[in-house]
This record gives sequence, structure tokens and C-alpha cells, in this order.
Amino acid sequence: MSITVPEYGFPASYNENSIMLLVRDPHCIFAYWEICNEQMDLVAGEFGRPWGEIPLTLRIYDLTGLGQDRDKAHGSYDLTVHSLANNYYIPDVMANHSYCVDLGVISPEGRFICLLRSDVIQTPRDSLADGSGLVMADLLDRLSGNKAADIAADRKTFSSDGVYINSANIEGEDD
Amino acid sequence: MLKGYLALVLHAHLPYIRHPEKENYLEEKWFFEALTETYIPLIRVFDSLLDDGVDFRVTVSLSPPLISMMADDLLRKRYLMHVDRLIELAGKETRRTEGTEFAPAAHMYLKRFQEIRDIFVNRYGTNLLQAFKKFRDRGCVELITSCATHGFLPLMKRKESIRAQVAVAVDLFTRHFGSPPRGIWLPECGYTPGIDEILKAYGLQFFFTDTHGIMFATPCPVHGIYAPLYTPGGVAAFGRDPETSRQVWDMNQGYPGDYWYREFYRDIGYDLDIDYIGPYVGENHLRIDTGIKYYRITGKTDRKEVYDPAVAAERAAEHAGNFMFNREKQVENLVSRMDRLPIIVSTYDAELFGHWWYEGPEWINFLLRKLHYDQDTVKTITPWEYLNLYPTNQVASLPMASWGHKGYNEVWLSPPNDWIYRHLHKAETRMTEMAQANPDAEGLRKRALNQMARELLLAQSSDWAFIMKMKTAVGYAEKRTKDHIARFSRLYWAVTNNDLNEEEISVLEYVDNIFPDIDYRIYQPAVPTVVSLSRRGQGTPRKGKKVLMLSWEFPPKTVGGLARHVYDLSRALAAQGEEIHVITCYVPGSPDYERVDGVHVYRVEPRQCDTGNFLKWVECLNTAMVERAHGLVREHGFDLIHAHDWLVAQAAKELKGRYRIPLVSTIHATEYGRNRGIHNDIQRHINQVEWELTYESWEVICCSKYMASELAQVFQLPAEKIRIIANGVEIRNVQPRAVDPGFRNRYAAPYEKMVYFIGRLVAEKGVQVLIKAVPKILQNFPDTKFVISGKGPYQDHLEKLAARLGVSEKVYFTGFADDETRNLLFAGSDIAVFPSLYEPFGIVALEAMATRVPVIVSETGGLAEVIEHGVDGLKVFPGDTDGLAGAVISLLEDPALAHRISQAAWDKVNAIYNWGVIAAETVNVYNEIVSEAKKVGYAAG
Repeated sequence: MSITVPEYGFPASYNENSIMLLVRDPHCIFAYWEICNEQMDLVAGEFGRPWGEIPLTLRIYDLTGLGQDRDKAHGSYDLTVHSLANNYYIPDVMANHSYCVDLGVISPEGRFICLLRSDVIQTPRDSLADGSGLVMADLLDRLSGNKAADIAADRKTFSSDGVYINSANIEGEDD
Repeated sequence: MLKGYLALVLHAHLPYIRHPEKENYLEEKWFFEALTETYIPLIRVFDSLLDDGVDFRVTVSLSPPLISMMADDLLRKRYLMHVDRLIELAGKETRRTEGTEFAPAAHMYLKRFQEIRDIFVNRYGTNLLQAFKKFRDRGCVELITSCATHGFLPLMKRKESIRAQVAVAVDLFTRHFGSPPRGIWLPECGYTPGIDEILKAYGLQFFFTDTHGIMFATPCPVHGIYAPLYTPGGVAAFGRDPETSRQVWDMNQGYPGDYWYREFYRDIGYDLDIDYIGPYVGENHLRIDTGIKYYRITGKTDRKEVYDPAVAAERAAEHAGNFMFNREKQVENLVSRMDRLPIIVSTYDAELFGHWWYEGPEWINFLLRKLHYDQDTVKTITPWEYLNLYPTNQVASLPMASWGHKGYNEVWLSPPNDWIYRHLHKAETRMTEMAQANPDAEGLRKRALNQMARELLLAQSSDWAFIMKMKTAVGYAEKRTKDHIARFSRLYWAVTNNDLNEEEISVLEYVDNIFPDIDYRIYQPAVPTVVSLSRRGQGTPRKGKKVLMLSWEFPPKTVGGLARHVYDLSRALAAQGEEIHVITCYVPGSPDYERVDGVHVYRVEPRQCDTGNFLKWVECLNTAMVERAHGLVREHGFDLIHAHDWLVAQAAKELKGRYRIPLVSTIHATEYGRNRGIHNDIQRHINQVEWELTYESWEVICCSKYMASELAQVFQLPAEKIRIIANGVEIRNVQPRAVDPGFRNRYAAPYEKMVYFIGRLVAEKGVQVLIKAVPKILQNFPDTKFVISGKGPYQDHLEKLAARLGVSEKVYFTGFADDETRNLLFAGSDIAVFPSLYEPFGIVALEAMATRVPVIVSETGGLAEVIEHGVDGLKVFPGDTDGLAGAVISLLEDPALAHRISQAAWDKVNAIYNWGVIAAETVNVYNEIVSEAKKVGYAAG
């Protein structure tokens, strides 16, 4: 069979307002965004300058342990980004923290005007946690799979469906 | 006495690569090589162990793309051809190497390939899945799955997408192996909290993570990586043991680097004469690996010694012994510190064994035999058996982690590949919306939705991002990502606008045929949330604008570049959701109405027309177009009319006036520019019509700044009425093409550099400037050939000029060259030169850039705008002979510069002159006009 595969143009953009955060690693977050043309025109009109000359501000909030409310953030700081950029690698964030970002512009009076608002994301931890809150349990679902191996249940430790809680740390658990 | 367990885990995966549209697709060979070097040798090892009664356990994850490729009829047939050719080559090799030191290895290959063929054809009837099913049923291999297309889960946006990657994989596995898998290999060991709940919902009881995925869990793991953890969702996580990884993986200290093992990088595909090896390498004699390699690693030297299979096998046995000894010591050490017997989890990419480390499968063979016969301290085990032995484990929250470089997401999220996520995420969102909006689609609509799911899944393969990062087959990976996203996007709009075309969907189903049983409803939100998604005014998917496009030519009718332009533009617009109706001229044999990739095409015939008079004919064509348009306007109510060039001006003007639909036009060239002025009545008439078209248009689109200034000058158009949108290039040659030396030899000697020109042979193309520069170039580089393609009235003059300068022997006129010849000539030449005196756009320069040949252009018109001097090409002044000679010499002198320039040019062609970008800019112009027209009350009805 001889066929011709149609070639469609690859979409360049979606002309919408959106921002997304992705964790690159415990110390770096990648942000990408898109601002629709109407929004750009509106801002450019307000500022009386072409969009390309208005710097953007990324405001980064530390919301570790706090939910979504930016007003309660532990703190925030700003990064300046060129308005023709559509992504940024936010460096030097901390492991095991929660962040969110507002992308906006600073008005001539110095006020921050938010254009896009991201969800909250969490960086992974990059070091050992402590051993407190140790929980042991049997969570195995024996009915799954085609045949459960008929190996005798563990003789040494815990009851098969009980949950055993031990707040001691590693040393206490070793023997 | 038994002191611990070893879980050997092999992850087998290749991206889904299957190109029914073409024989000998280079990238399909990845699969064939892996079958010959890894998968079939592993099957051979497992079979021999079973035959000999060796008790062993291995965990193998077969990724769904790999399962699908192993099951695919076309690929099975192609592999058989591949292996037959390999046997033929190996046979030739035994004769060629007879009596030399290479003979033992040559015989080993022949025997090995014959054995591979025998296993494939006779033992398993070309269906290798039967082998894995057998091993699974016998209980020695724990067969598990991976994600549907090996998507990297931590970088996905929506839970529905992760769920689909898991659900489709489990379903495919169950269909092939009779019962669901008990565990999963998360692609690249990519884990992020929340995934565990999805795994649990699909019956998956365990997965693997890298060492730090366990070590950095909260609370910290009591037994480190030597016992599994349960995630809060109740799935067991096994951590990779770094010591065993290092021993096998590390290319310097690890076993595979042993000097007696086979050297991967010395393949006869590169080493032997091309006339001999030609039939067994890539198209056009592109040199690639054949799989026959005669040297051993030898040491850190380029002087490699001959490979001795017998000695290499001894080394594999020694290394297996060493590995076993180390595991005995390791478990003895661990067992005293634990409340249970430790499990050492050794995870590897299956392709390491055989493909990279040729002796790897034999090493596994020796290892499993030794573990069975020689000791009783360590036993092999599967994760499932271990869990049944020790069902109570610590519960902890695992952090995000992967086994990629640096342990997180950087390999798949960095400047070479980060651009893909905005598209993948958008597609994820659209897919979910679509699944929710179409709870019970039937027929064609259902097929379109299912195909959307396939395209999204294929676009998500982690392989593409990985390849972009590793800079290996970047062109292919980018093409795959873009193709699947573009197809997805086209289908999305087809479903949204209810614009479904059976033939088009059939082609896509045929080309991207993975997961025949997929059901798009897996993308439905788990909790059917509120009627939802009215955020940002997107409650109902935005409908595209309806545009009536007028063009006198459209394929198959092609006179000039216009047809191609309208064809590519209209399809790209349709793929972005605009509804495009093209009225064009009748062609015998073509239907009056057809759908071309979502574009409505109507062909009309000028009636009662005296064909002798072109202007009269144009008038009749316009009348016919207007007649056809009446019904269409009533039926569709267009938002906009888009006219291309003066030939359709009359119809455009009439329809605009009658229905008050705003008009936009694209002017590709002007009569004034074509003739360098207006010299007669016909030209004056056309010029007048062109002026009228621009006058009636809301905005005028042209392709370059140069054209914009010409329009402003000739038609007195105000600047704010002109929009510049560059023309596009279809990049069909994504691979740097290797050119058959035989082909090139017809044009230039192998030692000669080749400078290439293609274009009409008329004065304004400036070939005379190039020929005048030839003597000076030859002074510096006597071995240079100048190849000129094209026909034209000026040819005679040019040939005489070359003769007069005494360089006839060095200047070769090829006559007309078709597209294929032209592309090969571009690819085979060292420099392409376009010395035009006048050139409104110069698409040919872009086409040269797309074949990755460095270009020199003259600083005129559109050509000048395409190139940034010294960055992605060189520019010289029009007519400047010395300047042109200097530019050619500078590129011949400095190959590094030439390479840098051609690379930058390729990037530019990819990024800017791409129909998707052009369509998006065109949509912006449409939006602008429609909203302005609305503002001033100019609109239909």
C-alpha cells in the first residue's frame, strides 16, 4: 500500500493566557507561559509603550505548608524577565518547599499588576528525612496478579493486616 | 545457608518506530538491531537455562511499544528480510576473511545470525511474545509492563494523562499475555507523589525507583534500599542498588569496558569499501552499523586488536563469578543488620546486554548458572515473591525522583527539549475536555477521538525529549514530536468543528496504528467534575473563523509557487482550527469538491471562454468563482475573504461588496516587480487590477520587508495596511542526507569541492556574477566545481562567458533539475550560492538551508532578510564579483565556520519558516481584521 502521510503545520501558539510550573530538580523550577495578543495589547496600551519594551516580573512565593493563599506566604521575591521570553528557569529554590508564581508587570507607580497566576508545586527533598513517625503495615493485595506465590507468611515480625506504629528511630528498629 | 536475595530486573523498551510509508527507514533498524543483539539472545539464554533445569528468577519489563512492535506483522516481515540480508553479508564475510585473523569472528557471526533466524522463525513462528509468555507461565520470568508509550510521568500536567499511560499499558499487556501484570517499570524510574494511587487502582503492586527515591523518603527507610517501602497509596517501591549498578553500568570500571570484550565503535559498515558494503548500509550509501564488528576494546588506543570470541566468553564467565562473589559478601554483610533477608535490586536497560555489551547475555547465562550450581548464599527472586515472603513493610512517602542524570527531571526538561511541554500539556487538556464532552461517541467521531488518544500518547514518549537532550537523532525526535502534536491538533479541530473525513482518519490510523483497542474514554476525568471548564471563557471550545479563500491555482494545478503556498497555508490553518473554503480553478480529472486535510476545496470551470485571450479567461474564471461562492456564502456565512494575487481580484472585490465581508489579500509578486517597471498595456492593466485588490483589502499580506516596500511604493499603500508574514518551507529532509558518491561523481570528482546554484537562467538571478568570480576562487582552491541547475534564455550567454574566462571545464550546466535531484545536489555540495540581482523572497535559499548546506546570498530583496550575515549564511552585495569570490573562499577555508552557519540556518528554518508559525501569524491578521470590522460595524448580515 502506498500512502502519503499528510503534513500539518505544527501549532506555534494557542493565543491564550496560561502559566505552568514544572520541577526540574530540588533547586530549580521551570516556568513557561503564554499571554494572548489581546492581553498584550491591553497592557501595551495602558503603558503607552510597545509590549516588547515592558519588562515582566515573576513574583515567587514560598507557600511551604500553607495551601494556596498567597497573602499568607512566608515570603516572596521578584525576578525580571524580558517580555518576549515565554519561559524561565527559576534558580536557587529550596528542596522540599512549596512555591507558586505570579507573572505580571510593575505599573509606573510601582504597583505589581498580576497577569498570570500559577498553581502551587512542591520541590522534592534531597536529603535523608528523620525516622520519626515510623509505620509498618501489610498493604499487599494478594488477589491481584494471576497467581499468588504460595510461600508461607512471614514468621518473624508483624501480624499480616495489623498496623504497627513505632515512633522510635532507626537505631531502635535495628534489632 | 541462604542469606539474601538478588532481583535482576531488565527493562526492555524502544520507542514505537514503524513507517509503513517507506521501506528501509533508518530508525526502524533500531528495533531490528535490538532484536538481533539483545532480545533474541536473551530468549536464547532463558531457553537454554530452562532446558538444563536451572532454577532462576528474572524480572523483565516489556514496554507497550516494544510489545506492539514485536506483534506487528509488517515489522516481523521486515525483520525477517533484515536478518536474511545479515546472513548473506556474514556469508560473504566468511569468504572474504578466509585465512585471515578475522576468520573465527566472521564464522561466529554467521553461525550466530543463523541461530537467531532459527529461533525467530522456527522456534517462535516470528512471534517473540510467545517466548516471553512461555517464560512467564513457567514462573522464571516475572513479566511486568511499563507506561503506554514510555511517557515521563513527573512532567505530565494532568492526572488523566498519567492514568491513561497506565491503563492502556495494563490493557495491552493483559490482551497479549492473558492476565494483568503485577508490577510496572515507571519510565526512567520517574516517580512523583500521587502516581501510586493510580498504580494501585490498576492492580499494580510494585514499581522501581532509583536509590535516592527510597533513601529520601519520609520517614527515612529503616532498611535503606534492601527492603521495599509501601507508598501511602499502598504500592511497594523497590530501590536500585548502586553497587551492582556500578559494576555493570560504568563504562570505565564496569565489566563491559574489559579490553577483551568486543569494541562497539568499529563496525564494518564504516570500515569496508563502500562498493562492497553498500547494499547492507543505509540509503544512498549512508554508513551505519551492520552489527559485524571485528575488534576488541584493546585499551585506550586507536590501534584495536582482533576480537577473539572464545577469550571474550572466558572473561564473561570470570565476570559472572566476580559478580556472584560480591553479592555473597554483600548479603552476608547486610543480613546481620536487618530483621529479614535483604533483597538486592539490580536494574538495567535490557539493551545494555548484547547491544552495547555484546557479551552481556552470556554473562547473564553464566551468572544464573553459577548462582544455581555453585553456592547457596544468594538466591534470585522476583519482587512479587519477596513481597509474599515479607508482606509487612515500612510505609513512607517517596519524593519525586528519576534515574536520569542528576536524579530528577533535568534530562527531559532543559533548553533542547523544554519547548515540547507547552504543546503536550495543551494536548492533554484538550484530550480530557474532548473525552468529557463526548461520553458516547460513535462511528467516525469515535475513531477520531481514539486516534487523538494515540497521537497524544505517541507524542509523550520520553524518548523524544531524551534524544533531543543527547543530541543524537535530534531531527527525527523533533519531527516525531511535532508530527504527533500536529496530527492531534488537526483531529481536535476536526472533532470540534464536526469536520470529519473518513479517508484522512484512515490514513492516520494506518500510519500511527499502535493500540488498536484503545478507548479514548480513559481520558474522562475521574470525578465528572462540574460542567466545568468555563474558566477563561473556554466553556465551549472556540470555533475557528470561516474563511473563503480564492486562488487561481491549487494542487494538482500548479503553475508557480502559489499553488504550493495556498495548499500548505490552508492546511496549516485548518490544522489550527480555522474553517477554510478554497475556490480555485478546474483541473481535468480532479473532483469539483473535495476535502484536503480539513480544507474544503471547490473547483470551478470558466465557461464559454475563448482560451486564446488570457485576460478574458481570467475574467471568466472570476465569474465562475463568484457564482460558486453565492451558495457557499449563504450556507456558511464567512467571516473573511482571503484572496491570493491579482488573478482573483475581481471575484474578491465583487463578493466583498455584495456581502460586506472584509477582504484580506496576499500579494506574492507584483507586475511592476516582475518586469522591473510597467512597459505595455497588458502590464498596465494587471498593475491596475493589483492596485484595486490592495485598495479593497482591509490588510495586505506579503512575504518580506522588501515586498512591503515595493507595495508601498507601487500602490501607495500606507504602512499600517501591510502585514509581513514570511513564506514557509516544508522540511521533508529531516536527516542530514548522505549522498550516494556515485550520484555526486556525475557532477564533480570526489576530491573536488562543489559550489551549487539553482534557478532560472535569467539575468536577474545573477549567475554571471558567480561565473566571473570563478577564476579568483580557482586561484585559491583549484579543485572546485561549479554546478549550475536550471534552464533559461540566458544559458547561452553564461556558457560563452565561462568559455571566455577559460573556466568551462570547471562550470557544469546540468539543465533542469527536479526536486529530488536538486535536494541531492544541495546535500552533496559544499556551498550553495544565490547571487540574485532581484529576488522578492527567495524560497530556494530556505530550501538550501533546510538541506544543511551553507549558503551565500546577495543582499537583495527577500534573500537579504532570510540571512543574518555571518550567523546563518553569508551576504555579498549584488553584482560584487570580488565579494562573492571572497565569501566562497572563506567558507572553503574554514569548515568549522561552514558547519556553524549551516547548523544555525537549519535551526532558523525550523523555528521561523514553518507553516505552523505562518498559519498562527495569519490567524492573528484574521483576528485583527474581524475585530476591527466588527468595531466599525462592517460585517456580514
